[in-house]
Amino acid sequence: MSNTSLSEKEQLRYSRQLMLKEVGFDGQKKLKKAKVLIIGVGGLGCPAALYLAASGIGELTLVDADKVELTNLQRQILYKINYLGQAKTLAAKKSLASLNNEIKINTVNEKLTEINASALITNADIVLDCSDNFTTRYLVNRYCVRYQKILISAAAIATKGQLMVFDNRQEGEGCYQCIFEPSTHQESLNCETSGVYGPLLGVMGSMQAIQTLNYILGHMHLNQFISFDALTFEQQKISFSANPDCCICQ
Amino acid sequence: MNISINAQEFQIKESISLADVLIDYSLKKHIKGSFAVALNSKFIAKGHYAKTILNAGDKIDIMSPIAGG
Repeated sequence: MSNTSLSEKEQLRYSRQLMLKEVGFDGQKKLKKAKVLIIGVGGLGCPAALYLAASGIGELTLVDADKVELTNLQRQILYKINYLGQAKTLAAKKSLASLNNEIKINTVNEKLTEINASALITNADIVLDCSDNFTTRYLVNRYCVRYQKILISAAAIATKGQLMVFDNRQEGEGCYQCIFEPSTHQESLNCETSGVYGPLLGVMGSMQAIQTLNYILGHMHLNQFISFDALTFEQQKISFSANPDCCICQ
Repeated sequence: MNISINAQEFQIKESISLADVLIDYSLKKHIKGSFAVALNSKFIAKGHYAKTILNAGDKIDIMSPIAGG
């Protein structure tokens, strides 16, 4: 796997995006060189990883400490019935590697913590937050700000989704904590407690994959917040600037 | 004058601040925890709520963070 050229097989595999002026030969080589860190391989991480692997992202790193359970199969589309009980990262790698054997897939069968966050995040070009809890979300945000990494974050519950993109390469432009301050009164709604529309995660995870490609290919360089309602199909784009009182990015 | 909060119409007094409207609304709706506020599709930092005076037709969106994924 040379990072500077595309084999004939790769040219054939990616032909339908190579013909796009937005991708092309040079763009495909950028995708091949890119390292993307996916934190959480659940409802969001599965579709995001599928599309990123299919698109030819050169190196994907999957972080998750969970095992595949029957309740996951309603929405976590990388897993099959015969993967039950297996580590999600390893099960996901099996599915992704059988889709694209031209890319490198690393697995970290751990939760993201203060201990492993630095090494994992500094090694990535782009970080996808596909986690299911606020502790991880604030941790990912803090380290992405510290190491100036692009953070593409999504979340979904019931029939509503949020997509947030933070280009931390520019200092002080705003971060996750500028939008949502941590609160001890925060209700910890997640898919386990409140339920979620399965295909909504497909939409939000795919949006994360699209924005990942946009960033790598240079089509995107702004912070963004989008909310999506799966019932009304309304999508709302909200612009933001940094909160001058933010203790993380200011 | 009329404004909307999360797509619902509300009548408020003239020259009232965003902070006042939010206190009222969050009490009424029992909103706990942190939330973000957008005025006409632009987020307003918490520190600016009190000095942001609302105008007729303003559209406010109050959004709670979602953790699920």
